[in-house]
Amino acid sequence: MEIFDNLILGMETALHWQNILFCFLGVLLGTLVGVLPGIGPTATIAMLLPITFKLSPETSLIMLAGIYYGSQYGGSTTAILINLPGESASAVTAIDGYQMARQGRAGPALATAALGSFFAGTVATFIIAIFAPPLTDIALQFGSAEYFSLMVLGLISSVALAHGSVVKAIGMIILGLLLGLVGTDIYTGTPRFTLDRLELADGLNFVAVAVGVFGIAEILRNLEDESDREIMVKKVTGLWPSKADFKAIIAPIIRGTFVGSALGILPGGGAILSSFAAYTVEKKVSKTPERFGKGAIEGVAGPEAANNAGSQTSFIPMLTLGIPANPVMALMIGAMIIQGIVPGPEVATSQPKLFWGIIASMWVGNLLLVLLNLPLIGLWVRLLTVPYYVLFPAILTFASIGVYSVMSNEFDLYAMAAFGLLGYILSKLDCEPAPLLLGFVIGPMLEEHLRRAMIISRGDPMVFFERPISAGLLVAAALVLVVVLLPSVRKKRDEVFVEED
Amino acid sequence: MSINKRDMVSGAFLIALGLFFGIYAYVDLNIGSAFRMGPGFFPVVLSGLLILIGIIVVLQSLNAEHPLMTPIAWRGLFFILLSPIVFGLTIRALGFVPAVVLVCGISAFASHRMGVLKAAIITVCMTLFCIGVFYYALGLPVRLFGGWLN
Repeated sequence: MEIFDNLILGMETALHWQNILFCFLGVLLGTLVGVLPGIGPTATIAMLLPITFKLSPETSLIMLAGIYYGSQYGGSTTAILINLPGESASAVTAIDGYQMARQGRAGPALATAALGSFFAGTVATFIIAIFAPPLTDIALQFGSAEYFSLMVLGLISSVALAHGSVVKAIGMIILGLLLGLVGTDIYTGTPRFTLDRLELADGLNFVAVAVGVFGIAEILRNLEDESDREIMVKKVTGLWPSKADFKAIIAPIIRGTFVGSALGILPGGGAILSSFAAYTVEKKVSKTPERFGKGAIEGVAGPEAANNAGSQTSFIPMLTLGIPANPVMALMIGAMIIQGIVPGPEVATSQPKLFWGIIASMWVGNLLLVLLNLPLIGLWVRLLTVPYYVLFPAILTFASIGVYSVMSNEFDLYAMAAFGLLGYILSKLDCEPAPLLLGFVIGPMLEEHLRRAMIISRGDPMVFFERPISAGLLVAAALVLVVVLLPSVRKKRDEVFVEED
Repeated sequence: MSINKRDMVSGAFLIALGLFFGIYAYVDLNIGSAFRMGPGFFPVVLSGLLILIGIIVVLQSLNAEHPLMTPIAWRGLFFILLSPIVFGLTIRALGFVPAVVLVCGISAFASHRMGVLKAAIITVCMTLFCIGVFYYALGLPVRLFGGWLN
């Protein structure tokens, strides 16, 4: 079967000693970043992007991917031990996980999280392997009109499935699109929005924007209130779950895996939405829903499996269509562009080693994570005692060095500071930064396809509706928008997201 | 009538940004037509949409609850935003080592809980670490001590 041929090719690539080493580094860093509050995978991946110039494309993407799904593991650890999710996707795990820790059952909770995530990661790897090639075939028939409509659908869906005000999120997307247009217009060579500065002729440095809006803004938020965190569990013993525990978690893990895989593929999906949805499913399905919120192990198993499956399957739209489903994928696309690879359906056929290597390495990474996390729990717990004010000078130093190393251009550092300020202002105004980054990365591509479609159709805007696939995508986008703005759905969304607090 | 001041400011902010980009594009760039889209076409359309969204947000803020606001981290803002700027100003003139010392040292003081001794220890450790990892291991193309100090 072709799948196995492809997976074997992928395994060959993934098991290359260099790729294993960097996969390990990636998942280790990811876990670290997931455990430490105040820094997340988005900012970390942005900071490490410049370092990947030296590495081959496969190795860089394997490492960066490892950081992403590794951070899901790390975030669960803090969620369970100190009720402070290191990662927003782990917010749900904290609900029952922390209660389990308070009942002295931190060990089984952590083990459930690790095992559930591993199972989900394995299944998700197969799902990607099965679905990616057919999707790629469909995508190869896409023309500019279809790409434009698909990107519009992607942007709108990412807003619908996200936090908070939909209208403001759309505003953020548009702002991101505008910022993405800063630079030189490819068709005519005219400088746009460059304020007559030479440094802006190539556009805003997207590492500077990402690190500023995500990393620096997060640090500033954390500096608002510098009170100490209480650490409930200093030592964790009794790691292995009991037989009864095992029986209880099998079904939630399976359900969580499928919920996560399905939701991860959707644009705007990924780990966060998957874990919330899985928790809701477990609560609905359970015969004893009152136990949820008080230490129900199913409330840990389901969401943990889901968030890992979701974070992996969110690679599918990126790998097959070149469309980022969330900000982390936007950064992966940036990494590919830096390495000279044009993201899109051709990647599967022109770079099979890269394509299948990444997919196979996800399984390797999951294995490394289970081996890393269970024995090293003590280390992570001790790490949590490091006070935050020691961490953020380090973060700022790495961020500055990282941003500077992209083009050896000091201007990028000023840009990073400016975007840090912008990110902080936006967070104070309760505007989401994620849609901004998505818009920023997609902006130039969106415009290119719009203009090309219009040139081919000789200025006829109806082309987007005359071609069937494109029309279907735009109708879907409109439907998503309408559904999300309906008052009944609005209330449901608020319910789901209030639980996070 | 209660006004959600935060959202009102958000809306005004979006409108202002839309106006900035829109007017800049309109004045500076060739808009073209739908058939031959000039460089200004897409920006102007987007700016218009942004202004529209801003207006909607402002309208939504009327007759809505004002939410609880967390304090602004003024001290953090000052030190954290200052440090990369200082790094940028000094990396070529003074070199990698002074720049790292400055960025680490300055940003350390963003926290209320930092003391001079702690900041010094963190800065020294950080500088040694960065020299080892970035200059030697990764071969970053910078001068350890540059420009004026040579």
